[in-house]
Amino acid sequence: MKPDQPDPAEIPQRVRQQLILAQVRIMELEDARDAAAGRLAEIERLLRTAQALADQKLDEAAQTEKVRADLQVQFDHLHQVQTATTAALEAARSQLEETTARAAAQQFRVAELETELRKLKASRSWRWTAWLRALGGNPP
Amino acid sequence: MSPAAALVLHLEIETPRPLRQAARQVLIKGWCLADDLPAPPPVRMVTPAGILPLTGRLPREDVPKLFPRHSAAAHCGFTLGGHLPPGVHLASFEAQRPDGTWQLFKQLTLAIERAPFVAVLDEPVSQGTLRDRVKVGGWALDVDEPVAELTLHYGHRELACDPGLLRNDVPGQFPDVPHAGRAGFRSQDFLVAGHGPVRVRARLTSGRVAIAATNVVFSVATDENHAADLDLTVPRIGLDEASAARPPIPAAPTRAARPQNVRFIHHGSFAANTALHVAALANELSAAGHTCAVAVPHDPATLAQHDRPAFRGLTFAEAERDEGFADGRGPDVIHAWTTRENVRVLTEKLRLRHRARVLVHLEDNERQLLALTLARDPAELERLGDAELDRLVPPDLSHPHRSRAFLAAADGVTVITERLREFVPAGKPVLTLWPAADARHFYPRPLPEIFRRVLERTPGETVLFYHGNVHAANAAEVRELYTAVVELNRTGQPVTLIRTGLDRGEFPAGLAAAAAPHVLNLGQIPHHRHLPALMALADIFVQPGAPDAFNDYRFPSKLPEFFALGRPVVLPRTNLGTVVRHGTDAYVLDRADAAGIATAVRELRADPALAARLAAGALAFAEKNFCWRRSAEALASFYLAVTPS
Repeated sequence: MKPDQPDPAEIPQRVRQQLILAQVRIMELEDARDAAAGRLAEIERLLRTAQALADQKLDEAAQTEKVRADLQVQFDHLHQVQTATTAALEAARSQLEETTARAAAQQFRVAELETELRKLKASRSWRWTAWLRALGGNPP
Repeated sequence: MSPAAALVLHLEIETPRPLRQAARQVLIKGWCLADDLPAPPPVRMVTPAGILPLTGRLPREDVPKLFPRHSAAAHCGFTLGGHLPPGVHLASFEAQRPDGTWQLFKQLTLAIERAPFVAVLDEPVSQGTLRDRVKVGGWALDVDEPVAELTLHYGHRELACDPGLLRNDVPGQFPDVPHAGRAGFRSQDFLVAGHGPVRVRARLTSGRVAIAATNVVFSVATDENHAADLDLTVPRIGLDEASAARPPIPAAPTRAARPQNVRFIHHGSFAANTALHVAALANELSAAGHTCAVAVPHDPATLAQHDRPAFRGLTFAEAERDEGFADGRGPDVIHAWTTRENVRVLTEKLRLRHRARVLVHLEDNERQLLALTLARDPAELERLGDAELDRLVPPDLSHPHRSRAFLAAADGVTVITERLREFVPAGKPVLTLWPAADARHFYPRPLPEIFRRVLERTPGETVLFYHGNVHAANAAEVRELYTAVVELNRTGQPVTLIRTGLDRGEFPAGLAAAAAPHVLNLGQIPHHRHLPALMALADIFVQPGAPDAFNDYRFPSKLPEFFALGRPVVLPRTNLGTVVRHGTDAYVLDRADAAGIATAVRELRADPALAARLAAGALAFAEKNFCWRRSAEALASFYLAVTPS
């Protein structure tokens, strides 16, 4: 349905009204354009900032990864050293245990021999033959 | 298989960072060489969306200076190129080891812009000016999606076209775009009268709109609807004259020694006239270091109508829920804008919660306003009981009894006119706060002569301007203005009244019909900042009215704006009319009714010297008396005076 045709006498008045309103519309559009340009510039700036920040974080991540890799190498080396040291320690401990056991056995034998010697020296025959050892210049 | 030994690389990506590229022209430059390799290693860029290979080697003069003994230094430059989809990609740059494996050496973000919409007019011309009434054609391509609808825009014209036509030449330029072969278009009709550069506007299948300029200007002088004597090539006549001297941007105000958190509570939306006052004060206070928030009962989106607000806008509901300001504290000052019921109720809730100082602003004879709105006698309303008044008084008007108690409990009162002090309880601190005009937009503007000549029905016509809504309180006055306009035209003084704003009431049918040929009603102008350019069309500003119980207490918001434009102002001897000097600052009428207005307009048109003197007087008065910065400074001092240190 078409809108009512304006009275011909009203047309100049409508044209004048629309002329001014067109100017208002132009002002609105100019504002919108300027606002959009400002927003675009701000978004561009934000994107640049975000990208720069992301790049910085990537650099930091790469640096962190490098440090991590270096630390891993150091860790691996230290782990190897630790493993070797542990093995050597184990061997030393076994050797020590063996030596300790041997020493203990020898100590036991010494004790046995000392006991035997004490028994020997306490025996009647040893006492009765003391004069004989004395003649020979040996201790009693 | 044992991992290959890592290369020891020296390199740089030299494309400016952050990396940002057009989708169809991704090109990255840099250089790279490796210790122990006699030749520069191959490089590439890997992204989740695709791999860009090495596309070229570049000689380098600078790298040999850094690595004088390296055999690859002189030719270690490289370019990587190819296509990538729009978006932000993580780009990994890699160098190839001798065993064929790749070694990452750098990661960067890469932003790829959408390929621009391309349009070419090439039938019958591809550049220059086309003046013939012919059909035209060309091609238009968006690499991401086909065109669904297409129109050509030039001057004031829009010409529909058929898109999707065969073009055998376009796929050669865009081999990877499957719909390139259907990029052709042709106008459905012959060119019609119009003049201007041609833009192609397309609606793509997704609904997205794309626009591209062409190298062609259409300049068709006439068609069946446009006579040849209608010259469409003339320059546009602007309303906003370039000669208007914009005032310099004022220096920033002095920073407040004790910044305050200020919450304004306004009775209407940001579209209301008085919201301009609140906004101007809040902007100035914010510039001085205070923190301001303005709560409105409805339509918070109307804040968009204000130019660069420096305060926070919120609804009443949000203000009720809101815990405080950015510094974690609540408001130091709650400035209730009037005693209207909606303002009073919220203010009292917030006062209890925040223990803030409460100031109340008076801008009207609220009792008279209520009486006018309810069409009742003020004394009769005063005698009614609270329960009956609760039923009668709408939220956006003042309850005669409760508003009095509200004022009595306030820590201070601001008033817009001296007469309003009559309503302030004795002993209460009070400050008179005159409004002003937004100096960023309201400043002396010359008459846009050329535009006025286009607009005028009769040479020498007088243009009046009146902005603002017509409502119960001012309808009678605006009727007087209309009657004056009719009378002036009837007696041979051609006058046009330009009006903006909404009418909340009918004019008498006879008056409306008689005034219609002389009134240009532009309706609501959404942005107040656009009014000054329209006001500059006026020769005289008229504030209709007469002294009475309503006008004596108010300060029409438009008056500072009238004075700031530098035109003679006609106003009644009430409110500001009792302060300005007749014949110096303004044309003051005892009653600005139809007869008085007609007399003033005739006299001002007959006496250009008087008109010029009053225009200059209006400006001088505005400069001396209307300034939001000064008002805000006085208000900030008032806040401090009522706020314990």
